[in-house]
Amino acid sequence: MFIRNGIKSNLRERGRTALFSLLIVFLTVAMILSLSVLLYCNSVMRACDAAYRSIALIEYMGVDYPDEDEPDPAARAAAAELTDEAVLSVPGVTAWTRGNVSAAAAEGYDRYYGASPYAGRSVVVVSRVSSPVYQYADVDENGEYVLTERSSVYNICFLKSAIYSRNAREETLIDLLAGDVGFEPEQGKSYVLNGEFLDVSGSAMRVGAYPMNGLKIFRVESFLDSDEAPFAEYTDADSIPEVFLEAADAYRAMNNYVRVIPCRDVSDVYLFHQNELQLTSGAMPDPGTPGACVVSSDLASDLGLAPGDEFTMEDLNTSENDRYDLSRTGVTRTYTLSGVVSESYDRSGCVWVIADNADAPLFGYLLGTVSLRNESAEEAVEALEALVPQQVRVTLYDQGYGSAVQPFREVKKTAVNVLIVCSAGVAAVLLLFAFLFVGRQSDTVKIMVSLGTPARKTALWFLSGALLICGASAVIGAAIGAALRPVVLRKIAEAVAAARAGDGFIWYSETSLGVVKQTSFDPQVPLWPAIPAAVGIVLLALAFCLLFLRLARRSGTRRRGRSRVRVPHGETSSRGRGGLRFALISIRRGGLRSLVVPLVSLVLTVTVLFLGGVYQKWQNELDDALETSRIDGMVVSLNGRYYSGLSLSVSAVRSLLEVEGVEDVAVSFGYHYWLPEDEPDFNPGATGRERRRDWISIQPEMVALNSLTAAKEFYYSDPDITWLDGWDESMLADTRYTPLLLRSTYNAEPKCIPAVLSTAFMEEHGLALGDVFSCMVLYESIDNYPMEIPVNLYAVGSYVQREGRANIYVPLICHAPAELLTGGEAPASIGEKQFERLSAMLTFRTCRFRLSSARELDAVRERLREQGFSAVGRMSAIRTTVLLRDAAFLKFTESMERNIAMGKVLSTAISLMIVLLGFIISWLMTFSRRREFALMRGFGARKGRVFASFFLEQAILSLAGCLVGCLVLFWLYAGGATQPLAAAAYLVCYLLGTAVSILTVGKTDLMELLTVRD
Amino acid sequence: MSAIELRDVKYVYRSQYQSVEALRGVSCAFEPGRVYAVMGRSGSGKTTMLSLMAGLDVPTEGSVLCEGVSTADIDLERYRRERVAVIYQDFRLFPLLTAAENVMYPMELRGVKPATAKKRAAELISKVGLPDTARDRFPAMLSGGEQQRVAIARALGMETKVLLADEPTGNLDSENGANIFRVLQALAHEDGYCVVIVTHDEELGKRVDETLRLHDGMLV
Repeated sequence: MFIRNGIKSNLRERGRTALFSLLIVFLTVAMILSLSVLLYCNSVMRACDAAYRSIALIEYMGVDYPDEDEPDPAARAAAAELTDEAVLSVPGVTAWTRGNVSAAAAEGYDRYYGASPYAGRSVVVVSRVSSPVYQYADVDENGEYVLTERSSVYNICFLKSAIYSRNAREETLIDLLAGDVGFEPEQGKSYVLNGEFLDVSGSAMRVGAYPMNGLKIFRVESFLDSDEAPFAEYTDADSIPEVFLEAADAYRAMNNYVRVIPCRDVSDVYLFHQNELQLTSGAMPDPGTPGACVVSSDLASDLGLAPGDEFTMEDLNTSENDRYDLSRTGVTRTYTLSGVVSESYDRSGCVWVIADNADAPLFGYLLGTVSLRNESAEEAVEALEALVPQQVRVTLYDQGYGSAVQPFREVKKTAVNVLIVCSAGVAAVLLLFAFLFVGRQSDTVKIMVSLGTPARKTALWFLSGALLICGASAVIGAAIGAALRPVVLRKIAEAVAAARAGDGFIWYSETSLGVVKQTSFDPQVPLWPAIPAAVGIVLLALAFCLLFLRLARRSGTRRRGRSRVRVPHGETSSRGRGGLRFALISIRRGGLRSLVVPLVSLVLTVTVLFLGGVYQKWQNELDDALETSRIDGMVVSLNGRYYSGLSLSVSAVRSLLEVEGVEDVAVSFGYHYWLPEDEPDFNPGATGRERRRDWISIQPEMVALNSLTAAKEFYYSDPDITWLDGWDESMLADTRYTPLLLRSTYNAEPKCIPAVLSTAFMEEHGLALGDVFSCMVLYESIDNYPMEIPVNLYAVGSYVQREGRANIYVPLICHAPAELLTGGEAPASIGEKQFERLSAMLTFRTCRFRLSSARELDAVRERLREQGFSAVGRMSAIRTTVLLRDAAFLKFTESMERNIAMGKVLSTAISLMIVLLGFIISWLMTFSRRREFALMRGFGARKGRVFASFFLEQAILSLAGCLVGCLVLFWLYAGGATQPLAAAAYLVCYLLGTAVSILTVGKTDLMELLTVRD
Repeated sequence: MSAIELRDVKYVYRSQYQSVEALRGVSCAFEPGRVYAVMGRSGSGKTTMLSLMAGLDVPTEGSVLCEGVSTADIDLERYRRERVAVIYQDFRLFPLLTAAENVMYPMELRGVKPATAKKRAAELISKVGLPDTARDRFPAMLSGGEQQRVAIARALGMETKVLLADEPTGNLDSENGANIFRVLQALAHEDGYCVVIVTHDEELGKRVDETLRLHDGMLV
């Protein structure tokens, strides 16, 4: 009976029951969906974590990327500064492998491809040496040959046998250059020789033209590690000195070296991580198995290896200054082949092995590779950037993990917020539900108590009805939520896929380096969240109902002693008029009631102002960033390296200049220079000329540029130049000087060129600002014909050289007239024809530019694409790779934009919440005073006056709280982070809610006036 | 001319489930200077009749005339402010207003300045037999009889000639009830008010000038 009556009495309240049923159904659905989305996102993120790998390359940048084989002291110093402990202590770092690569010799391996500077080194036996052949030599009056700069002298001989040689064909004629080791071959004799076969095609101009087939040039050279004579007369095989045999063995090892690349996890090696190399057979070795390795296909083929095989190699010692100067150690190691790598010419003879860091010296720029946890990769890179020495760059390669996971992070955050809001909503609705369905039934409780109903039966009466409604609604909600779940998850997956398609690769951005994996996931999300959600709702409803039932029973119990009646304070007042008078009286005498509204108002105002202030701060910071950020761009190589032997055409620079939003385009080109007095005394022969040329090629450069930002020296630090009075950087764009080309072509009178010199160079040569000095410049003409041009330089500025060579910076006009870039008319001094020729042939080595405004970033990206510039790793019509250094800017703005977007949603939700809160509070305040309301109307008070009486009371109270809130926040933040409009908006929202509630209460039928009870 | 007159008044309460004819053609007139009692069982239509006379609504059919003018043709708010005063069984005093302020309220609605209204309220409170000290007291500090006297003073403050009282002694003991009735009787007989009392009290019914009995919405 009790259950039946309880259920019936609740069900008969159709409107209330329907409203709360709908609310509970809605909230249950929302909770289940948000919970499912949360689990879905977690599941996808876990799947992403398993599918993607994040690594960071730690590279030494310096003025230039050191060549992969170059022993760069600065890079080594940077590597030494970076301790293993420090790197491994960075949160998010799972492993750290140094970039040191060692070498080994594998019996049976014959290297065909890859760098091998000693490929020409040979130990040969020659016979039937001819008399000297003089080429391009003059003959004096005595009939003697006189050697000139163009002359060469050689012997023709028969290559009897090669003790070691990669490219010699035995029993053929060769040209023998005696070199400068004191070898004077005698006609008809046989010799065993140590030397080098020269590349005929490359050195034809230097050693003479040898178009005959079958002939090669062999130059006798010293042993690499012995002072003994590299030549000896040959009688028979047994007479060959040991030193020749040792040299032959060493050359064999050097040329057939195997590169051993130690790593903690082969999958994290850049080449594999970026899919530049893939396995053709076998599998990646287990990171926990030392000695397990993958090898290049040529090595596997030569050694006849298959996955699972074991093989041994002998360790080779590497010279500190020459990667390829190798010597045998006699130490052998055993390796276990796990997989074979696809064929790659430039990665032949390689073994990637699970091992500790190699002891071999560091060559090149790669200091090491860091394996990272995907989820904390960005933070780890930031920490590493703070850790590494200057000029060391940390580049994150996450295979697109960040962009793949980011949308799910956002969705997850939203799901969590929705879940929190839903939980709060459920609590609020269930509280109200319990209050209305149980708490408000105190009259019924009193009747039941008066009739002697046992407490258990009373509880049964009320709880049965309430729980039936709540339980049924929760179950329906759970069923709907479970049914909608697949649809919602599919929609989210589609939306995320669409977002990724749009932002998966940001053109020209330094944030989009490396490969981006495109993976799709179909995670299974369990159904179980629906059950605890529904059960939780019912249990919470039960708890609230029990609470209110207890309160209702207590209110029906008569208390002993004198009852206390709250009496307002004050005396009859005649101040004020109309609605305001009543409002003020109510405020004064309202007691606790008059405190609730201002207090709530104060708390909400502080909250709204604070959030508004934070939101405004974000907006201001974003505006500020858009306004003040300066985004640089540069032309780089296709793999994203900042500088590695670029050859940038004039037309490409012009295209760049045409891109709207691109400004301050700075370009440079360098020529090797030297001071005549610094030049060593080279012999006049062919070898001397070659050595001189080699010497010149390592001299510093005279760099012609239009802005110092184009100088590699100042890529990572602002130029700090000391200028001679009256001079500044604008001299670099001065076009009054003569291009080097014209100086040679027309023998123009050399004029002093203003130059910025390194202080070290000036000290070394006793120079001071204002001094004039001469130097020689090797000018490679546009048809590659080298010319040595004397140049007079005028020292107008100096800089402190931090590293690299003592480059000299001169105006761009020395290399190219500015009109070439701007597309202006040819200067009269050059002529139209020559100008066109220069346009087609001249190139630049560096190019940097700046965006006119950070706001233009996306537009510039689009215009660069329209122009057809290549992005890193993505070839396009103009094969010039542009890289925008926008990572920091993007990171900041994206985070701000996310915050602002969230703030917008939050502010809308908060506004609605405040309207609702205003309504509820005002409704509670005025509904309890319906009798006063009705009385006023009964006395004939106009609706407006009645409205004003209540509204003004609420308005004054909320305004007071609002003002105090403003003052509190102003005091706390000194006006820094507040947003006055937010306070006004809050007040408007609150008063809107108040107005609605008063109008709702005011709809009481006056005919019920006589029966209205509080 | 009658102070208030009902002509063939019918009133139907309409709800979602049913329509109830609370008054079924009631016609009667109330003269100034007299005390009337409207009596009848619960549900006979007494309170509905009083509510229509108080201008809380207009009849479904027929008319309520006040000094010859139908309430259907005039502004009911103004009618309630200026033509009729109602005294309720449970006094209906504003809890946050003092006795004097409660009396002042309807005066202020008519545009009387608060200072003037305050003086007048003091007079009226004295007139209904309350001590001066009661003026600044809040309803919660007054006894039931005192509260009802304040309610009467408030009705007097409206300066209408029609006083409608809904069970004015219902919540009072017999002595207080008698005192209140005497006040109302004096107002009718001495000041010319038309006093209409809705009551169950047969004793009270015997002491009024005229008694009307309602049964099932009709006068009998």
